[in-house]
Amino acid sequence: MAGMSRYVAVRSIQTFITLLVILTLIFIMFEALPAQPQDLLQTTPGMQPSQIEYMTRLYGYDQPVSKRYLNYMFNMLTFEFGISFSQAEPVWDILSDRIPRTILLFGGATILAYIVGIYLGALIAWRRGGILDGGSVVISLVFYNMPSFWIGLIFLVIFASELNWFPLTGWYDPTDNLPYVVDVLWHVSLPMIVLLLLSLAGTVLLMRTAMLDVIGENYMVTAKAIGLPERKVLFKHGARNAMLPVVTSFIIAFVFSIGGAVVLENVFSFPGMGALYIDALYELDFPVAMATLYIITLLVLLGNFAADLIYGYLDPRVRI
Amino acid sequence: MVLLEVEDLKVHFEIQDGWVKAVDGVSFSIDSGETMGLVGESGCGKTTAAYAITQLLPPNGRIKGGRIFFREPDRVAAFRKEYDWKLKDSAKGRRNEISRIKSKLDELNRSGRKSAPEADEMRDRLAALTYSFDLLALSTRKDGSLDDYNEDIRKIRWTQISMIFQGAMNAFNPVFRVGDQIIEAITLHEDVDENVARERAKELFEFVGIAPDRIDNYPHEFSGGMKQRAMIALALALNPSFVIADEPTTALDVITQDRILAEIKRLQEQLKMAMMIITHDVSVVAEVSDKIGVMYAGLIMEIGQTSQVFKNTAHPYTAGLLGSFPSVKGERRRLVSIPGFPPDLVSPPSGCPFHPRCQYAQSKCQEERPEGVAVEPGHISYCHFAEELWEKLRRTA
Amino acid sequence: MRNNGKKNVKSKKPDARELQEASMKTFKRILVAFRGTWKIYRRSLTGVTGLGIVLGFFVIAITAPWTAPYDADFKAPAVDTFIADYATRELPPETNWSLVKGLTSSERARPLERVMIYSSDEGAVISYPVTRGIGEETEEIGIEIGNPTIIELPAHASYLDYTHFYRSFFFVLSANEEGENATSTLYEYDYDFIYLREHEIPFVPLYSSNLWNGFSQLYQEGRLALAFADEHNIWLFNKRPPDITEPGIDGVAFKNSLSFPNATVIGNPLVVDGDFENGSMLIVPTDVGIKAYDLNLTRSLLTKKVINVSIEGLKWESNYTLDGEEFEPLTGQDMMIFQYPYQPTTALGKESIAVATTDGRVVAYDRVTGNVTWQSMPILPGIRDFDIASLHSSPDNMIIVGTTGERGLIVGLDPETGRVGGNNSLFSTVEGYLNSPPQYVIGQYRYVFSTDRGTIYLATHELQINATFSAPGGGAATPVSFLGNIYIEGSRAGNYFGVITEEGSLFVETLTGVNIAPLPPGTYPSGNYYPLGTDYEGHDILTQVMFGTRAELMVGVVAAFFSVVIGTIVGLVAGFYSGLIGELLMRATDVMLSLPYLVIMLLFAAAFGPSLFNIIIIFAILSWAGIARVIRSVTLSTRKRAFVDAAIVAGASEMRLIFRHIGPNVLPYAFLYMTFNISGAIVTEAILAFLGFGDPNAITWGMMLQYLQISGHSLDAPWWLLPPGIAITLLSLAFYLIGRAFDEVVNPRLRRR
Repeated sequence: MAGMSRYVAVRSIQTFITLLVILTLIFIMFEALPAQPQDLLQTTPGMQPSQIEYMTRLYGYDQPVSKRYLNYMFNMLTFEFGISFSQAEPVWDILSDRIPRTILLFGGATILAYIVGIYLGALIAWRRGGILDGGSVVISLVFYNMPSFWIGLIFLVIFASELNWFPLTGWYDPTDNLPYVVDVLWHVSLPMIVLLLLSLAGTVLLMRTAMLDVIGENYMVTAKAIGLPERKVLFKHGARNAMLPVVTSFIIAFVFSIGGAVVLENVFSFPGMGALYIDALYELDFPVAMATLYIITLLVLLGNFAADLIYGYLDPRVRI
Repeated sequence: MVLLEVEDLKVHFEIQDGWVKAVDGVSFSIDSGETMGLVGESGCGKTTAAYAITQLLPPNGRIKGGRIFFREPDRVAAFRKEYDWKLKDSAKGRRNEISRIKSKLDELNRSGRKSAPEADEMRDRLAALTYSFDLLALSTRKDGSLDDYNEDIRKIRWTQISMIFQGAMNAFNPVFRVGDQIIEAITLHEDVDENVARERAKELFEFVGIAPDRIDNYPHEFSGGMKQRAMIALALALNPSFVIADEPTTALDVITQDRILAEIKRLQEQLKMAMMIITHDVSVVAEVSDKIGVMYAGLIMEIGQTSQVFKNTAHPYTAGLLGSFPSVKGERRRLVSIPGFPPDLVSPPSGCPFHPRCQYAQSKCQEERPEGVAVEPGHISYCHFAEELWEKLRRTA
Repeated sequence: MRNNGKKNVKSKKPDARELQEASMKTFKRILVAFRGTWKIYRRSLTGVTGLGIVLGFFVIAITAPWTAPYDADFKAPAVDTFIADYATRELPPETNWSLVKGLTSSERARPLERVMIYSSDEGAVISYPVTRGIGEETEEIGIEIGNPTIIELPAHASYLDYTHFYRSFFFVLSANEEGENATSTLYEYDYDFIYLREHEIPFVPLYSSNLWNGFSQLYQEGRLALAFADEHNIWLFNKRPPDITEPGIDGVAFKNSLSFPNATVIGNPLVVDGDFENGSMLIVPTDVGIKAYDLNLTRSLLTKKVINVSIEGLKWESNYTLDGEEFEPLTGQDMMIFQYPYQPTTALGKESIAVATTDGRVVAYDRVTGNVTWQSMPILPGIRDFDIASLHSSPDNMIIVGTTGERGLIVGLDPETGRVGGNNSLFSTVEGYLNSPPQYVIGQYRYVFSTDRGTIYLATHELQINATFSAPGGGAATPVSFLGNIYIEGSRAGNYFGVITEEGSLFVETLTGVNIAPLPPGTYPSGNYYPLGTDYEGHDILTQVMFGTRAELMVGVVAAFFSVVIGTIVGLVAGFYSGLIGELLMRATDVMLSLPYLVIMLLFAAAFGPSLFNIIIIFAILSWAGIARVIRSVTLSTRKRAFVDAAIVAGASEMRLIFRHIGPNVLPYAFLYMTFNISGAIVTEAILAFLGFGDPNAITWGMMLQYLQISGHSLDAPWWLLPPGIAITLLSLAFYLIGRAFDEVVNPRLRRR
């Protein structure tokens, strides 16, 4: 297990360095934007010069870039996000409610997509050439290339508007007379299903390809020759190995899925970070946008770190 | 006692351009404790023939005919042959015979003589008539595809027939410990505690010459030779009566090859199990097998005791094959390769498949597929001119 | 070989034939390679399907102007997109009924309660109650006209007007006798046509002022004012209506008069006010100039109520000259308007009095000083001559109604500058002459007017014709009048207008809330067939989808191309210099891969502004990482191949090595990933557009869906929702399939699946 702990340590350091690099990139990006917060202050109607001066100091725009950068890095790492431009509230207060919602939507959908996708991908590769295989591949390809918001809208029309199975929008509605948790799950399920289907498509295709590679491997013949039942050959020996490249591509799926979550939150008026982010962008509320972007990136990195750990657990060859 | 009898086995593969007739009517038998070598060039169908026994064919493989009898009692086999000769292919006759025997059995049951020798005979006759020891009958579907995970076949796998795979390098699942994979095989078939299985795995490791504490290692931590030994250990895990070794030495360096062969020899001696060694390397066969089958283009060309085939070669192909290998005994002679290429098995040549490359071919070879000719007791050559050529091909030892 | 070629190039210039041969060889090699690729490629059914779809879209993109059913900026005519709720009622025959008027209730919301018509022949008013009912066409809750009440009016009643101010009042003017000393009487009625009182006017008026009402925030007091004039006299009537604090008292009427012995009144006087408390004025156009008088309000010291209103002295006078040159004003009822600019930025007191001239100009005077603030000769593109018939004011603009040739003309002027909008586009012409003033439809920013041809027009606040109506049976006999709004619960609120039809019936129809676009697929009254329906603004969906193909393909191909160029260069360099530079580049690539690119694209799109160009750049900057990785590994393996070593030995420069020797080998991969990236760029553009960061000036499928979402029709217009989404999916899928099939060509290992 020594190998494993070294592996974890190395991965943690790598993830942290990546985080620092990405934070720096975010800082540079915001510095490079054509609309600067300082300018924004100047053009806000009704701002007195003294107010502008105060705000400039408050947000630290009077300091040199290097100082600002250091402050920024420190603030981000300590989750000090400052005060929103548009709502005059600490960014953390605006954001904190929304983080768990997005984690529920995005995390839930991604994890489910992985579980279902790995299972389904393995299964259709196992029964390749059949109607199940062809059908699943075609459906997956179509879903993979569909714009997320569009399929979201279609689901909204069919399952919320026409069939009335799910609520149209929101997160929690006290008038539903349901226990909080149940009502939240009911609200979150439709966007989650859409996100699940979208993420599923990629995972199924990837898993199918990986599984097709694995099926030809000698150890699969061994497993069969030993007399293992089909289920065990398929899942214990086949899927377990085919999962490896799928888990390696976790980061791509995470990035894809968080993008989908941001879009779908806006389709479903789901009050998560994605909806907040878009609102902040409309209003050029930089502190909120920056903090949201940071949290989203952090989520992706943590997810990827988790994926690395899973990979380390799954594949003994990397723990050296 | 005959352990395995393969009768007129035909395995074809469906591909885009048609059917590959990988095995097109192969018959042989192996006695208990006997080692048979199946030799031939790559693509001659020897691996397919062997894999058909444990039914490990790729999904496009189809059984197009034949039977594989495993652990068939001698008396049943005798009855079976008798019936096959008597009834020929008459399905009606067979049905009549079955109902007659069944009624007799019923009569015996009613009269309380269930365990009388007469009843045993009737049961054996019934088994012979219904081919109840045919492995293929258990799991072949109507279209000739195999029900890969048939329960009966699964029970026979590894407990009765185990295998040593060609690419031992990749025969172990890379994500599991080698020991765990052996333990998995043991606990799968035997109702034993994991600790017991673990002890057994250690013993097996010791037996094949690997330090027992290596069972907790992963395959990638093993060398090629160690993997092959571990493979042998795995094959022996359930003490099978029959082991199929598929190119057991191919991927190994010469020294390791030698050691593994020695290992196999030792097993034969100590465990007295029947073996079938599939190889393209005639020298391997010469060293370890009692019996040799030479395959070409999906057909057996010549079959017999090792010494018979080596010394009293009765088929031009065998002669060519032997000529293209250096002699194990170190005797110096010119290596002669057979001119031409192995045929395309989608549309193999008519008659004897070897005739386009055979220097002794005559018009008859093109037209008729040769019947087996017993040139010696137990030595059969599938050549029209076996008798004539026998003298010519016989090696001067 | 390559080495020799290179030396030759250096030592002597190749002659033209050699060059030609070389290029022919290259061409042949490309052809052979292409054929070989195609041979493998065409085995993939999905790949060929994808290629077919893409080619189909290319054909659509190129031929869209000819094959699309309509033009790119086509909008369905109003006759298709507009369904109005209406009600009709037969009128008692053989009477000349005048204009229809709507009576709104005294409640704050002032819904339309009654419509009223009168006949000066018979001296009678018919008033119909307006109630909610089932609309005749829409079959939804709409308007219904009830049974009438008929009110007898005094004989010779020639004028009827009404106002509402907490309560409505009617004023009916009737000339008493003919001849030199004829007088007339102004009758006052209340809301229910109950006679209140009458006032004697010592002459028979030729002109009447606007019936002006106002409300003082400061004194919480309302006022009504109305002036009548003949050629030399003005009679001003000023009234304080009852207010909530004094129920029952309908206010005192103050009467004033003025006479102009040396001048002749030539048009309607105006009663105007500044901020009501001070600055109330009476403005009279005479033949010698405009005369403006202050109105003096005397208030009770105790209650601050107005206890007297009197015409004070002349405040200013302005003759009809401009820069020393005389001009001739239009005379008549609508020669002069008072315009109070509604823009909140305008300071109080900047109101203008405007007069139209006979040579097509408008001259604006400052209300307070009488100085000319601007004069304007509107320049209308494509219209050379026009005549002004009248001036009207509206909350937005000054409106000129005139004629140009046989057509009616309506022009909007900016009240502050006198210009015709920003680019001289604030005008329309219609068939026939306008016979009603353009009436401002409250809450809708539109105007309704009619022509002498009996057609009723609805124009936007930019005076673009938005819809045309006609009364049943061929047209309207009277000018259209805007009646008011009726609020209908559970249905739409409607602004109604009314006319009397040529068949002699009352026709009331709504202007509002009845845009039935998006239209489902089908054939519509205009005869147009919309195969996939229309969007909210009446754009044909099929046409939009077809034209959208152009932008999609452009964005997809260009964005993917740039991202592939960046990725290929990074990959080549990282693979070739596999030392520190390569390592750094690969770490950068890894970081790029772990960035939530869509989220960052949104940030850039928001910050750089929405345009297709920006989307392309943003996509290219953020989507190269995957390609760089692949190209790097291909470069690494290619480098090991013998011919590169040979080239190194031959002394090829590094650049030459990268681009001449390794480049061609990575090119198939670059192309492969370009197809994947095209597919990604198309979907990305759609997402950005949908979230509101798309190019509003381009027709793209994403923008179509964005409009669907923001117009609130995403749940009820499947014919609008489905086609753009299907098109995006299909095009993206097609490129993806091409990529997959081509992948099999590039990576033969995959071919067996």
